[in-house]
Amino acid sequence: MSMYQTNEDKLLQAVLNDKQLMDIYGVDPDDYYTITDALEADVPIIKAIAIIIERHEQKVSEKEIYTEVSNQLIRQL
Amino acid sequence: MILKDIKIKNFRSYYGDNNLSLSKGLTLIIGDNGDGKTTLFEALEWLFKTASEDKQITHISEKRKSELEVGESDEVLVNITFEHDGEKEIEKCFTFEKVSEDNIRIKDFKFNGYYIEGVERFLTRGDTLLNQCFEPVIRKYCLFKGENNLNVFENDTALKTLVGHFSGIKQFDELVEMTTNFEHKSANAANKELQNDKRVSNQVKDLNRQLAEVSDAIQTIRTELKEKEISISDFSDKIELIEKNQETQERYQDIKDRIKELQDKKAKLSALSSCNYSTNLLDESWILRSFLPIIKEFSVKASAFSKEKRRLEKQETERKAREAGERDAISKIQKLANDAIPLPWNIPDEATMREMIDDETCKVCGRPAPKGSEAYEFMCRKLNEYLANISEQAGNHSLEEEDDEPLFPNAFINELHSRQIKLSGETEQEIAGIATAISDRLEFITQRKAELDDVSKQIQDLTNELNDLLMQSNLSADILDRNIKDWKGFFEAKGRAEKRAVELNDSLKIKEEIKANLQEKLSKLEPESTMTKVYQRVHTTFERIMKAFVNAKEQNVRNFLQMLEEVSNQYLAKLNKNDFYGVIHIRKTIDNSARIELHSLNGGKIENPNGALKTTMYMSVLFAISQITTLKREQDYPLIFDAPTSSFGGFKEDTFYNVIDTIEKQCLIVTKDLLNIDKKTGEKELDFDTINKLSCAVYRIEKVEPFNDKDLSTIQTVIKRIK
Repeated sequence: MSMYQTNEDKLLQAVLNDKQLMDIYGVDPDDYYTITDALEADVPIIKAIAIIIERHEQKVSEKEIYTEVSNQLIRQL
Repeated sequence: MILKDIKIKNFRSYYGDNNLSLSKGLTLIIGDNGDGKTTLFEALEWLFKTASEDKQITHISEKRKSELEVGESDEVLVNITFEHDGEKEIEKCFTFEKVSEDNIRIKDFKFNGYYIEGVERFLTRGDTLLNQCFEPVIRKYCLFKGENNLNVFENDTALKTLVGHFSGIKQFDELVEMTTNFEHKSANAANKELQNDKRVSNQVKDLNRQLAEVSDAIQTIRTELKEKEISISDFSDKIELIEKNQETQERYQDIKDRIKELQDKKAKLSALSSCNYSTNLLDESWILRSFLPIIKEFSVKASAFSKEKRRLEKQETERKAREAGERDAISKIQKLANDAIPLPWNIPDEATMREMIDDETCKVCGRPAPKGSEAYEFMCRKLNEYLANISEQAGNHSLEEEDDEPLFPNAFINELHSRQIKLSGETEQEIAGIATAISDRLEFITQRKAELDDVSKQIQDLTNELNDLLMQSNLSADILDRNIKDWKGFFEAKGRAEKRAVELNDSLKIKEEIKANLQEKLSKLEPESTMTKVYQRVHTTFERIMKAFVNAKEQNVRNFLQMLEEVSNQYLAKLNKNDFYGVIHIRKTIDNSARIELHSLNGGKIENPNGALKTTMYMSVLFAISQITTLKREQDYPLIFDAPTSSFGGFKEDTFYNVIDTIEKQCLIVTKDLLNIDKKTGEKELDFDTINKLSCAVYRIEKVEPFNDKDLSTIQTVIKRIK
């Protein structure tokens, strides 16, 4: 586990600390310390959040991100 | 970024080359008014300005300019050397050339950066290097001019900027916006699928219609609620301002009342002390003010005349009496000379006498008196005597008439005497009274004028007090006047807005419950198509993602403010060692800006903390921001203050600089603190007792003497390291 947290990692941690996410999906933020961890997650919502943060950081357009996340969710849900 | 050296050349009063080496902690630059403190600060501001070239002719040293011959040139330069991932240098300069006696041309503007790698010094763009090493947003919270600009949250966008840059998490706003859009898109997609699903399409249409209605209603309520909340916040701010300045307002009103009272008094005194002397000369007979001695002199002279007249009259009377006495004596002697008592000279009368002479008969004794006889002669003598007497009588009469003529026939002296009598007594008293009246009046006017001067002085003092009050409170008279009038109105308007906000919140709650129920119904619909069910789940997921981002963003702001508060309070405690300081609260307002407040531990808000406490409060927040920035960026940044402590007293200065000296933060303070007036010489002397306790670098900047206080080209600031 990398000790250095990027801005994406910090964003991810902040979002995963949402109480509703933890309650509904049983998310433990400590399991996803970095974006890389979250991108490999089995929980669809965690992965979706990670994709949104990662792609936004990579300056991918909003439309493309939506398509990617939607397709990923459609596949997984 | 740690500043190491500053070079200033020909920048306004900094004539020629001037160098400063800075400590890693505090560097203190002490100078008196007009010695070039603000110029030093502005030289750095000029260097840090990347938006424009700003090669103003006013930046050129007047002294240097005045020395140049036509055709000669020199340069204005500000340079800093600093440590930021290695040693770097930024320099801004331009050349100025004297092209004619009255004309200076500016050319060759340069804004260069240099970085050192090994032993090589590489040139780069100054603005680029500066923005890399000392970002504009960080610079914004590093340079502060004066005590009144220390409150960073005066700027309503400060919280957003600070959270965006220094909370450690960037781009939250964009992500919240993006996930909100995703939620809407997915909702539309799911809804579209549901509407096409045979089993639930009618229910969906009905639910959508209801949802659209309730959403419209919610939107309308929210719009109105937002307006009311803004109004409440606005009125609260105004009421808070009034409450905060209650003491100021009370004092303001009290001073204004006192001024008005004194102005009324002044008007009365002005009326009482005004006197039309010209009119009063005649109308009030003031012209007679000096007539009393004239009356006295007149009286003396009139008395003298009168006395002389009486003396002469007495003398005349005596003369006449003497002459009359003499005549009487002669008559008596004649009488004694004859035996018989002669008839009076007028008996018989002239006609009888002539008849008797003509008749030659004495008709007194009846005897004849023929011509030539003694009796006839007697009668002739008697007639002559008669005629002589008549003649004498006639002569006497004219003599008597002459004798009876008054010695002073024109009665001038009597007139003078009468005037004297007339002027004496009551008239004299009256004239003496005029003098007294004038004297009393003048004394009265003098007293009123003295009172008027006193009242005018009191008015002036109160006006000065009022101006000081306005200056210290940073409020205008207009605001204070209006606030007093609007006080009641604000309360009532706030009350009305609050009441309406409660009603709207209740309605909103109901409508949102209805909406939530409708959405739940929508989500619980069992469509026929599996794909539609998937779209429903995708939307639910996007909705939760959006909420998670919104909550995370709000939590991030709360975390930042909490961290800022904690660190600020640590600095506040340090800066106010051995003094009361309270607790800093940074309150987020409804419009997403922030306010710094000071509270007592027992919960009460401290309204109007004293100047020094307020300054340390704002500086603590600045130190905290700087510390958080350092933490987040893993770089330190200097804090540069120009005269931040003008409200501090001597004792507070000592403590303040001693504490700042121990804080691990590069801090450059330009100040006139630690300059004391030597009671013996009246000159300002450095407070070496305090300076010697400091471990930091201390510089003294001052004007080179002699200088002409009306000629800028004689002004030169020099920098001397004193510690």
